[in-house]
Amino acid sequence: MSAIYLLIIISIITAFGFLMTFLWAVKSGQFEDSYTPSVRILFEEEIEMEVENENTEESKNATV
Amino acid sequence: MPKGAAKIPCHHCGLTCKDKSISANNPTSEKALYFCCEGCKSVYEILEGNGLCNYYQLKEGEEHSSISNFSDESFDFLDLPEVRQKLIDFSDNHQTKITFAIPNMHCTACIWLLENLHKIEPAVLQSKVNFMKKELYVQFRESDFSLKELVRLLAKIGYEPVINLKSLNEKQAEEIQLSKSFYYKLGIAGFCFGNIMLLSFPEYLGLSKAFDGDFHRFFGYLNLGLIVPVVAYSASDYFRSAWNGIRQGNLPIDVPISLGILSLLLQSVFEIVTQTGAGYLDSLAGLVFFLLIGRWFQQKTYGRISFERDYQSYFPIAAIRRENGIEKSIPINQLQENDIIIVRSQSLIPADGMLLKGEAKIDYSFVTGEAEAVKVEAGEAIFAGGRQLGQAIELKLTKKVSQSYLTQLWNNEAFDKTSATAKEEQSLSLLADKIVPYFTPTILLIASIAGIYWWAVADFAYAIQIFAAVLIIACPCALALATPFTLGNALRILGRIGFYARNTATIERLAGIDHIVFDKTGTITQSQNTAIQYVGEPLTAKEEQIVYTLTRQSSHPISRQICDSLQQQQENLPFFELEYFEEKTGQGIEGKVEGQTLKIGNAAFVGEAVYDLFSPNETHTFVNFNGETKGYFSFSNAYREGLKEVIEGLQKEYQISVISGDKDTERANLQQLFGKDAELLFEQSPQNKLDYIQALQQKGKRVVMIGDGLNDAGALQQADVGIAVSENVNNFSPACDVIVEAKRFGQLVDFVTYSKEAVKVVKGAFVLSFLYNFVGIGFAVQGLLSPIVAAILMPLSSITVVVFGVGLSYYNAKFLNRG
Repeated sequence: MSAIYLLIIISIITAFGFLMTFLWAVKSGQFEDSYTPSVRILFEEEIEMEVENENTEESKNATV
Repeated sequence: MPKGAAKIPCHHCGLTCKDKSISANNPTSEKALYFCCEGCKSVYEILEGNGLCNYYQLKEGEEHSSISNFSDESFDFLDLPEVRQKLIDFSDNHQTKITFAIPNMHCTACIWLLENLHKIEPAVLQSKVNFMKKELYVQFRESDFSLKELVRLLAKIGYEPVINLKSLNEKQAEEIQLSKSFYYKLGIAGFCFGNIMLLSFPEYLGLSKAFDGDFHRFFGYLNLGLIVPVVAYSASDYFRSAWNGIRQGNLPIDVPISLGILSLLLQSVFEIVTQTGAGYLDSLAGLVFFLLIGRWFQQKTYGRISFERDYQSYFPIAAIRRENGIEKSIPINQLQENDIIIVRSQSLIPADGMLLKGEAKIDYSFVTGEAEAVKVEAGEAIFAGGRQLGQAIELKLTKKVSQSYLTQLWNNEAFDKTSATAKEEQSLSLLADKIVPYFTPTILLIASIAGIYWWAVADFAYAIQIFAAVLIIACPCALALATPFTLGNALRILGRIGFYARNTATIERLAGIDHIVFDKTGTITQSQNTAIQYVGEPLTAKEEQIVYTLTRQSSHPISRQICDSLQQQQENLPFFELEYFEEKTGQGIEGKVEGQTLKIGNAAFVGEAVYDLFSPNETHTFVNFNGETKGYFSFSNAYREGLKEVIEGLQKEYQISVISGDKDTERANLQQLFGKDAELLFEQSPQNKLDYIQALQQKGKRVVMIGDGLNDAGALQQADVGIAVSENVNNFSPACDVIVEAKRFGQLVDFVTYSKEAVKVVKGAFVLSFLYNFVGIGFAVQGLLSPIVAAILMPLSSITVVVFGVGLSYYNAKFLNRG
């Protein structure tokens, strides 16, 4: 039964790790803005697509 | 160039361009791009030059606000070290971090552009948008690019940050810090709560006795260790606020909560140390956790209903001071008496002063609600809050900013009618405020009696639990929250649709009225946007300019209208030097310009016979050059849209009067419109209007005065609720309680009905909240509630009351949005 002492201490240390992760997430501002990142992630993609489109158009023009 | 063939949207902001005069070449197609103003064009050029034209693709037809013009000196105050120090978040040799509030951002394209600032200005290292808060966080190299230049860049591309005294007060930064530490507290409480529950599992299942004593002690001490951060850190706000309250000699609701926490803690520590039991640490941690969740919900909701109007944000935050002949911009809180300041066109007067130099035309709409500018002669006083409309003027300050006229006005008790009607039973918030101080001692008493009873009947440990449960369930949060939440939400809903009430007490008073007095001119008739027509011998361009020169000197509404209509025809209309000018009140204006004597005024003033063929619904203003009448401007007295519906709606429940300063030419018209019962009074001076309202009040009536804030400020102030109908919502009038956008005038009936509903909802919420407490205390006293259940029920009861109030106020508002 003495394994319980060890297991409980390990479990609490693990849980403590999650608590630290949570505190870090708060500290790094992840809870402050839940909207802008969702928009931001789309930007690069759109820009790349624009560039690609332009390229394809240019190549089309070239072939014509 | 063809004019007005088709509506051309501005390439940048989407507004319709006046003509094709401002254009740029489009690099991707042959069609030229058109802009509504030079500001928009310059933004386009900045974006184009930096390869940021993707902005226009992302924009997808969103209309963007036109670029506001700002002078080069506008942001000079940012060079001042004190101002800079207050604004920036962090600074070292390499970089500076700053957060701006930018209300102008409103779509994906805005985010994109603002986050690509580094492409425009390499000194910007990083820019990050928080769209929900409308904030921009910028990291930049200040050695290459000053704060002022950064703000000017933002303003240039159409995102001028809002910088005012409030943001200088560092309040916002503190709030962010506070909410972050709040999340820490919540997280730690939740973590400890969960683990204490796990470790209490043997206790829950009655297993603790099955094992030997060591486990028991081990779990007990682990729990004790886990409770330390909960009590010491997570619950610290309650202790602090309770202690502050006690020191100031009152008993805030945090006192019973703190007492409950402490009694549970001491009892548990005693039991664990003496090995007599497992204590109630799970209850305690749960209690703190749920209390914090309740508070988090309250903060969220409060944040959403927070009322954003703050007169401070109307003030410029720096002024240009002249010292030994040098002009220098300094923060207004450094202004001293006898300082000489320069106030440029469109700038607000920061403090009371005396005019030294210049042609002062002060728009006091911020202070009095009067839309017409006031001319001030040199040596006369100019009051804070006015806005200079003409050329730059020089002022000598007679007071410091902090004690200025406007601050006094706004803080003046005389303008706050809450104190005047405090005695009346209808004041709901007052009721709640009165109850809360008695609440805490009463609850402490009940809890102590219950505790002593159960100590005698059962044991001490059980008594402690009941003591704590009563203290916690009885928290009068729901009672305290019902009024501010419900009426605050009502205030917000009304504000959003153009009905700005001063405070929640105004809504209460509006619900209790029984007599409505209308002002005529500017209220039931429109003062602006009336059709102006010139009839007579056509004026040459030069004559028009002379008329313009003369009318722009005067602040009379008719002059302003003529002046504005001439300006609308031709922007930047040139004007001449004035040789002589005089305004004859009630008659007209005369002057000498370019050697020509000009008279503009009513028929008698210019020496014309009165035409009988004019309809009574029109006003005529004649133009007379060198003694010869050229023609007249005619203005139609249009009644406000929706007036009929408003009157019909109000007639059923309220007595109506109309009070006017004009002659009674319109009596028949108005009597028909307002019905036989309505009292119509003509040729009333502002004092008469005030007296009339006072007389009604002495008869026991609760009176609403609806005016335009021009010549009825006294009456608006005297009335139980003064409503100013405003063509321009930025008007600020300390005399009135409510400002209604003119275009929402037709919904006046809905507004009054809605206020009544809102007050009913508050009363309902009161009943609900009392019921909660009675039932809750009833159960707790009998020992049927454990502290942890009480801790769950307490925020739950607050939440139900808030949801009840806010939900119903939304529900009731459904019919308001139809307009």
